Order: sequence, then C-alpha cells, then structure tokens
Amino acid sequence: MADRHPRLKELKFTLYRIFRNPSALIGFCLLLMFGIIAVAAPYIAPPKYPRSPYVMPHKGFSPTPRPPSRQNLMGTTSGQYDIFYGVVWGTRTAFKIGFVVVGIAALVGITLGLVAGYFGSLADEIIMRAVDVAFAVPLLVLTMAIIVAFGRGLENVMFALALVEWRVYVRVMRSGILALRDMDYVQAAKVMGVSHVRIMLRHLLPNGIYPVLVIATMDIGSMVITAAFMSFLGLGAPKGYADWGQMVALARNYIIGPPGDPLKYWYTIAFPGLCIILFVLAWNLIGDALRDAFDPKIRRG
Amino acid sequence: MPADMILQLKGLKKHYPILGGVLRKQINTVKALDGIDLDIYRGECLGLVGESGCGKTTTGKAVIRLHDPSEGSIFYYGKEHGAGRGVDITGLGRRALKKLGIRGKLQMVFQDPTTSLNPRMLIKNIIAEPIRAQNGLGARQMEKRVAELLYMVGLTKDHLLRYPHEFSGGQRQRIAVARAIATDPDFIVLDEPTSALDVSVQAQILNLLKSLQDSLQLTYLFVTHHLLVVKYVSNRTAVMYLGKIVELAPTADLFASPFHPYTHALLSGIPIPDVDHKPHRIVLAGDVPSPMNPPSGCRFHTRCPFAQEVCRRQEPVAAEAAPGRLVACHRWQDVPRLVRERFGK
Amino acid sequence: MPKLIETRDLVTNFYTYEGVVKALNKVGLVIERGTTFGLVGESGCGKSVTARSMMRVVQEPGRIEGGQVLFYPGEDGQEAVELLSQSEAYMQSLRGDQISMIFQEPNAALNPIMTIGDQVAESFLFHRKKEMCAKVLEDLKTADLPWPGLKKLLEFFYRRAAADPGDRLCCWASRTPILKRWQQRLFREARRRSVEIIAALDIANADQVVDRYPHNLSGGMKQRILIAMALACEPLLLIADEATSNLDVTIQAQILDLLRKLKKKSISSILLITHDLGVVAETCDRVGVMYAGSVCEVARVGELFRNPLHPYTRALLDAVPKFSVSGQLKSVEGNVPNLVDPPSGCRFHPRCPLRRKICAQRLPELALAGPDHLVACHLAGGRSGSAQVWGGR
Ligand SMILES: Nc1ncnc2c1ncn2[C@@H]1O[C@H](COP(=O)(O)OP(=O)(O)O)[C@@H](O)[C@H]1O
Ligand SMILES: Nc1ncnc2c1ncn2[C@@H]1O[C@H](COP(=O)(O)OP(=O)(O)O)[C@@H](O)[C@H]1O
Ligand code: SF4
Ligand code: SF4
Ligand SMILES: [Mg+2]
Ligand SMILES: [Mg+2]
Repeated sequence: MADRHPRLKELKFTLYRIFRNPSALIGFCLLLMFGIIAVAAPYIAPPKYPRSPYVMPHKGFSPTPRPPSRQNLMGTTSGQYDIFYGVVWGTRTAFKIGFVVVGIAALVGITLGLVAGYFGSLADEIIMRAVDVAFAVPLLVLTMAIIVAFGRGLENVMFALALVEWRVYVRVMRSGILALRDMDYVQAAKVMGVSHVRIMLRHLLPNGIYPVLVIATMDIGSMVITAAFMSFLGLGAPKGYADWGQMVALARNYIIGPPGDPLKYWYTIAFPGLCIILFVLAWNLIGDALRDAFDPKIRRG
Repeated sequence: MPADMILQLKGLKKHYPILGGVLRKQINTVKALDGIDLDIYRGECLGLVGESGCGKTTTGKAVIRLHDPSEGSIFYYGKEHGAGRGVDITGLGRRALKKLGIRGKLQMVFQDPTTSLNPRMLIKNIIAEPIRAQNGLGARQMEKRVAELLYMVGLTKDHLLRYPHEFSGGQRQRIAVARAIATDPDFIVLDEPTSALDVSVQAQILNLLKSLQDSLQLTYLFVTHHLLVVKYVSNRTAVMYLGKIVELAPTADLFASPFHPYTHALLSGIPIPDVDHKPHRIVLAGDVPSPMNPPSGCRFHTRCPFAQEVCRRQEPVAAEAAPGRLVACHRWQDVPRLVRERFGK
Repeated sequence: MPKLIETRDLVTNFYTYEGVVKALNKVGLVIERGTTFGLVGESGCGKSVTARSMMRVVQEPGRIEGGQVLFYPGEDGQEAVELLSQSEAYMQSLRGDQISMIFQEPNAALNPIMTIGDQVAESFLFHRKKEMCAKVLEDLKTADLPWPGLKKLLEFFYRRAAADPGDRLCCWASRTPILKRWQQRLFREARRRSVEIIAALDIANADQVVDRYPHNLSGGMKQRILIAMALACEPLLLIADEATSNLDVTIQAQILDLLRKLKKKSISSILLITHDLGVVAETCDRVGVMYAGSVCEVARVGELFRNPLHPYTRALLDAVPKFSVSGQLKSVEGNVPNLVDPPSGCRFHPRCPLRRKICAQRLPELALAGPDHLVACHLAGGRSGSAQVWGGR
C-alpha cells in the first residue's frame, strides 16, 4: 500500500503535537537520561551483592559522610554508603514506585470510573460513596496503619499509596465518561446491539482516557516524592536500600554542616535531592505537554 | 388493523425527571412526550416535524427502544412474525430484542455525523460493528460486506482505512447510513439526517436515502424541523408541538390545505428560496412554552391567533378531519376561513 | 446608491498544521448604503472570514495577506478610508459603533453573570457616553435636589464628562467611594434607553426582561437582545452572521420580520450572512454567492433567483427543496474542496458540469454580465454568450 497505515499517521500527528511544545522535549530528554541510567545500572554501578543489588555497599560504619573521591564519585553518606551507587540504583527504585503505584491505582480507578459513569444509578452510587470514604482517609494514617500491620518496607508503602491514589482516577474517569455516555456514537452502538463491555472498551475508554493519562503521567513523579517523604519519616525503604528518599533520610543529620561551614556535607543531600527534583520535573513537563496535546479544543476535524 | 403496519405507538409518554436541590430530589418533570399515537406503515416515509424541543428525537429514540417510555406501548409487526402479528417491544430488554432478531431491524441515523461516528475508530470497524454485534461473519466475508455497504452509499474501498475526521460532512453521513443499513433493517429513524449538511450535499443524501428506500424496501421515520425537506421525501407528515402530535396528514394534503393553526404558522414561516413566491405570513407571538409546565387545555393556545375560551380549558382530541387526516384542534373546521380572513390568503 | 463598504481582492490565509488554508481568494464585494446585502454559500466557503476580515477580527491562526477594505463614512460615499492600514485604535472605535456584528451563537456573546439590562446599558455607556451626559445635564436644570451644592457638583461632573467622555477627573471620581455616585443619573439614563430599545424589538415587558440573566431567556430572545445591543449605537452597518440559523422556523420568522422593520425605520445597511437561500430571497436586496473562498456571482436578488448565470449558483438553486416544485432534486456531484490545496483556476471546476479547458488554468474575474449582475465564470462573458450555453431559464 502506498500510503502509510492511518494509525501511524495518527500517531505521528499526536507526536507532532506533543513535541511542538519545548517543555515536552526537555521532559523527554530528562526521562531518557533516567531511563538509560536505570537500564544500564548494572554496568554503571556493578552491584557488590548481585543477589540483592538494591542494597547499597558500604565500607565501614562511620556516621560522618565523606566528600567525593576517586572511589566514591559522589562521596559517601552517613554510614559510609556510596552515594553514586545509591543514585544509580535509586533510579530503578523510582521507576518501580511510579509505575507500580500509578499502574495499580489507574487500573482500578479507570475500571471503577468506567463502570460508575456508564451504568450510573446503583453502581455509580456505591462506587462514588466508596471514593468519598477513600478521600476521607489521610494518607499518612493509612500508611502507618499498613506499616504497623504488615511491617516496614517499600512494597507496603507502594501498596498504601495505590490504596489512596485510585480515588482520583475514579473521579476523573467518571466525569469524562458522563460526558461521553450520551454522545451519539454511544447511542448508535446501543441501537446496533453492541454489548456493554464492548461499548465501554471500544467507545468510551479510547475517548475518555486522555485526562487520566495526563494525571497519571504527573502522578508518577509525585508518587516518587510522596514515597521519598515516607522514607524520610522512616516509614519506607529500610536503611541502606537504594532509594533516593531513603538516602535523603540517611543524611538528615548532615543537611547543615558544622557551624562556620554549613555547606560542608552538600553532596549528601544534593545528589539524591536533585534526582528527585529532576525526575518529578520530567514527568510534570510531559504531563503538561500531554494536556495541551490532548486538549479537545485543538483536536482537528 | 391494516396488515401492512410495521410499528404502532399507543399513548406513548416520556417524562424526564428534573432533579434539583442539595438532596437531588425530583422537583419537576419534562413532559417530552405526552401521549403519542402513531401508526407507521411498511414502506412509507413518515415525516415528523416540529420546532426544536418538541420531542421529535425522543419519539424516534423511543420507537427503536433507545430508552424506556414512561407510559404507553410500542408494537412491532415484523415480517417474520407473520402478518398482523405484533410484538409488544415496550418492555423488552437488550438481550430479548436481540434474541427475537428485532435489534438489527430497527435502526437510526443521527443528526450530526461528527458526533455519531466514534472519532477513534476506522471506518472499516465502524461499519463492521453492527454486523459483528448481530451475527458476526468471517473475516473475508466481513470485508466483502463492508465494501459492498460502502459502495451502496457511494463511497469506495479506499475509504476503509481512514478515520471519520478525514471525511467531509456529507461523506460522514454516508458512512452513518452505511452503518444503519448494515444489519439489513426494516425500519430506520432518520433524525435530522441533513440538518448538519450543506444544501448541495443535502440533496445528495436525500437522493441516496430515497434510492436506498426503494432498493431495500425500507420504512423511514424522517425527523426534521425543515419542512421543505419533509415535503420532498415523505408520504405522510405528522406535526408535533410540545410533546403531542397536532396534525397528521398525507404530505401533499398537509401542504396544500393545513387544518391546524400551528401547521399554518409553520408553513408560512418557511423562508422560500423563490423570489416569485410571496407568502402571506403568520408571525406567531412569543416562544414555545417550556415542556415542564405546558399550558392547560390546548398547548398551543398561548400562541394561537384563534384561541378561544374553550381552548384554555379543554384539551382537543384528535379528530379525523378527512380520510387519513387527523387534527387536534377545537376549531379546525373554521381555521381555513379564519386564516383567510385574518391573514388574507 | 452610494457605497458604504467595499472589499477589493481580499486574501486571508490560515496557517495550520495541515498547511496554509487559503480561505479567501481575492474577494471583492460592494455593500451600498441602506441596502441589505446577502452573502450565501455553503459552510466553509469563507463567509464569516470575509466579514471578520472586513472588521479585522480574523481569528488565530489567520492573517489578512492582501487586498483592501474601503469604508465610506460620508453620506455621499466619496471619501474612502482604507481599513487594513488603519491603527487598531481606529478599528476599535469603528467596531460596535459604526459597524456592529451579531453571531450565530448568542451565548458566546452574552455574559452569563450580568443582567440583560446591564449588558445593553454597557454598550450605550461605551459608545454614547458623551451624548448621554449632555442629556443628563439638560435634565439636571429642571431637577429638584435636596441642596444646591449637590446640583452644582453634579453639573460640574456632567459638564466635564459631556465635553470629554474620558476625562481624568471624572474617571478618578468614578473610582472613589461616595464620589462615584455622581454617575447614577447616567446609569439611569442608560437603563432607560436600554428598556426603550428592547421594547422597540417587539419584546413584551421590556422593563422586566432587563433584570433577567441570559440563561432565563430563550434562544430567539437572546438573539433579539444581541440585535438590541448591536443597534444601541445606530451603526451604519449591521453584520448578522448566521444570526437566525439556530432558531426555529417560527422564531426565525419573527427575527427576520424584525430585521425588515428595522431596515425600514433606520437607514442602516445589513450584511446578512447565511447558508439559507430562502432567508436571502425574503430579506435581501442584493446577493453575493461564494464558493470555496471566491465570490462567484453578485446580483440583485430577483435577478439572481430568476436568472442565475454562474453554474454553481444554478446548482445551488436546483439542489434546495422548493415549495412549489416537486420531483427529483438535482444534487451537485462531489464535495467542497479542501482549501489547503484548492483547485487551480476556477475553484468550482472539478464539480462544474460546464467546465472547459481554460477553467482549470485561469481564475475567472468577476465581470459584468448584465445590468448590475456580476459573474466570475469564463463562460459568462456577456449576457448573450451565457444564454447560448444555458438556454433560457
Ligand atoms: N435526557 C434528557 N433529560 C431531560 N430532558 C430531556 C432529555 N432529552 C430530552 N429532553 C427534553 O425533552 C424535550 C424534547 O427533546 P427532543 O426530543 O430532543 O426534541 P427535538 O428532537 O424535537 O428537538 C426537550 O424539552 C428536552 O429538553
Ligand atoms: N480559526 C481557523 N483556523 C483554521 N482555519 C479556519 C479558521 N477559521 C476559518 N478557517 C477556514 O476558513 C474557511 C472559511 O471559513 P468560514 O468563513 O468560517 O466559513 P463560513 O462560510 O461557513 O462562514 C474554512 O475552510 C475554514 O477551514
Ligand atoms: S384548539 Fe384553540 S388554541 Fe388550540 S390550535 Fe385550535 S384554535 Fe388554537
Ligand atoms: S469558470 Fe469554468 S469551471 Fe468555473 S464555473 Fe465557469 S464554466 Fe464552470
Ligand atoms: Mg432533535
Ligand atoms: Mg460562518
């Protein structure tokens, strides 16, 4: 066939609209960098214990950080953990947190939102009341409860975050579906006798998912921040785990150096902190660009 | 009961609740349809005209069971059920309709082809969807059938792998028509199929619809607010006002000698694209009242130039003014004379 | 009839992702004083863009790239102002004052959180402040006020405002608590005028309508309010862009009736943009037919309907269902072209039943083909020539 497949053309058009926005370009470059680091982690920073690569290697137990040197490119943090190693493997942790939390939350939220929006009445009532209840639960309390119940660990934090985040997706998805539900093409599908599941999957989902994609993108970043915050509070990853938040937590006593030299231990905070900031920024920039690209007002035709 | 009836509406009502307040309690009802009686005969094109909001679309959607009427019933006299044997389809659910093979027989073409075609589906899939939903065909046969349908509405195979936005309005409406005839229906509701289109394209679509009606032996319910279009396509015409049918007549008779004052006003209000045709004009005062609190008695009395005391009190019942002509007006016998005297025709 | 506004070879393009949309292709039109000029054509043919280009309010990503818009403010239609080269400030003073526009969608033009009265009054305050201040000053002479100092003060403000509506001192006073109440009489006057003009548009209980909000009104009513606002400052030209297209037949009949009456009362010209040939036949004096960004034919309305010369006009007239004629409608084959890549030469040639070789090569110019009858078609060089081709009608 002479002309390319229409889906390709469509994809090209969407990409054009996304990358027309310079901030998207910056975001994608940053993300690409993180992606490469994450994938190539075993080569950039070969693990000392190949069975548990997320455990940061450390030489000695001295609580005083050491500045960057030949052996420790970014210095060591309290407990002599190698910051460079932590930053590299922490990238994997960050992706893991973002994707797992948002993946679970979005999957649950989209499904429930679809059902609530499409069927309305009783299903809607039940799901939305559950969402209201979920909105009433404070994240911190829930996390602590889960930690107490299941023990400390990154998995449990992710579980707690997913348990909180799904509510947002339900609301966004549902409001989108409510607007689409009465569209003529949905009505037409009903007249043709198309099944409910098919209507939801073929007609509602592809048209209503865009706002969810936008917030999901931004959420990946913010989940990493929240997880870091949990780690800082001592609720997240165990000591020595390659996680940016955990590394900032390790350095909490060295944020300000001794009197007269407040920036003495800058490297303990700067490297993991910068990673968190850039990671969040990257996702936000992309989310922003997606929002513009998916804006129905500028959709052609 | 004539043997060639295809659909019959009896006392059809549709009331939409209006919810309001913090507690989302019902504070009012929109009486979108308030007692519609209509017989539709096999092979005809029945026009349904009226101003926007009078309940035309609601009627059309009720007939093909897109929503549940609040009251009244709908009978479907399918060929396969035997002559004169109707099925009450009013309460039938989606599954039951499918099982009886009725779902594919009653179809609809919507007003705006930009919103009635899923923007994220290829034309191929849009047209194949109803077939898939009814019985399903093998991939090879499906492809053939879809191509055949496209050909029937004047498009070609090249259009299969495109998205709706790559087509003009008229072409999109052709695709919507192809989709509607895909399941080999008996009856199609055409809800303002040309209102979103341009004149030159409108003529193409009207001609297409006419030729399809002949070749596929279709029955149409043609909903529109455009009277000249109705005059062109339909055999009989029903005029609606605020959820009621006020006049029903063979189209030629309706245009030649309307009985109901509202029909008079509608006909005289059409801008005629002909400079030699200088119409007398009945300009009605005021707006269409809200269907939430329709006027008492005759619903038209607030705007009717001939309203009398009785019109305010008593609701007129449809009377057979001539064979095959129904009119719901207390004064229908006097109306032609009154129009002549008042507006000089 | 003296000219009021004229476009010459107007070219407007839109720069979109798909490419450059060549929306206007050398549009030339003349609107005369005191006439209703109808601009018809199918959607997307450039009617709105023509009107917007005349007022220089083309939307993004559009640009006016060539041609002239000549405005003749004088009674005799001699002196011309070229609008495309004027400053934006000049245009602003023109818009809404000498040229008003009403659109298809009344909701977009009305502010949902202001009462109807306030909105109409605002357009008076914006364009007729000077005159109204003078009127208030006049009224003050006979007014009874509690103490003479107040009267002096008010007279002081109104005299300044009447001399210069943008007076610094008055503006400052309008923003100062207590002092700002000097304007009350002005507001009352604006409101009085609003009620008056709304009542003049066949709206019952105008004094109640002014206190309502747009969502309380029906579509036809809103459209009438917009007409009231457009007429508030007695414009020389009223542009009605599909102003009745969304309305029902009976309501449309009311509005058209109203426009006709207004036309008779005030001498202002109307540019009526519509796709409905019926509306044109009933309301307009002269008609321009557009197709794909070009003007094909301009004639008096009777002439155009009885003796259409351009093949597109004929096709259009054959395609509309009519009252008296029944039988098959003749449809025009094909679709309206994509203006990113318009057909060469005559833009109608791919669909034209009479096309010749030259049609694809050269753009036909608008030329006189009869008395007051302009046609842009290679085959309509003169009346006799065209009659040969088409035969009598
Ligand atoms: N889903 C709905 N909920 C509430 N009111 C509705 C709904 N659908 C239609 N209506 C009301 O019912 C009336 C008839 O609508 P409709 O049948 O669409 O009119 P038409 O097609 O003649 O323009 C209108 O007043 C409309 O506001
Ligand atoms: N904002 C815009 N962006 C891109 N193209 C536009 C825009 N506005 C109008 N156009 C193009 O200009 C042409 C004329 O449009 P318009 O004047 O609105 O048509 P109409 O005759 O229906 O009023 C159309 O082909 C349209 O594609
Ligand atoms: S019943 Fe009375 S109010 Fe109704 S249409 Fe007839 S004359 Fe008019
Ligand atoms: S110039 Fe040629 S193509 Fe264009 S309208 Fe005239 S005959 Fe047809
Ligand atoms: Mg409708
Ligand atoms: Mg327009």
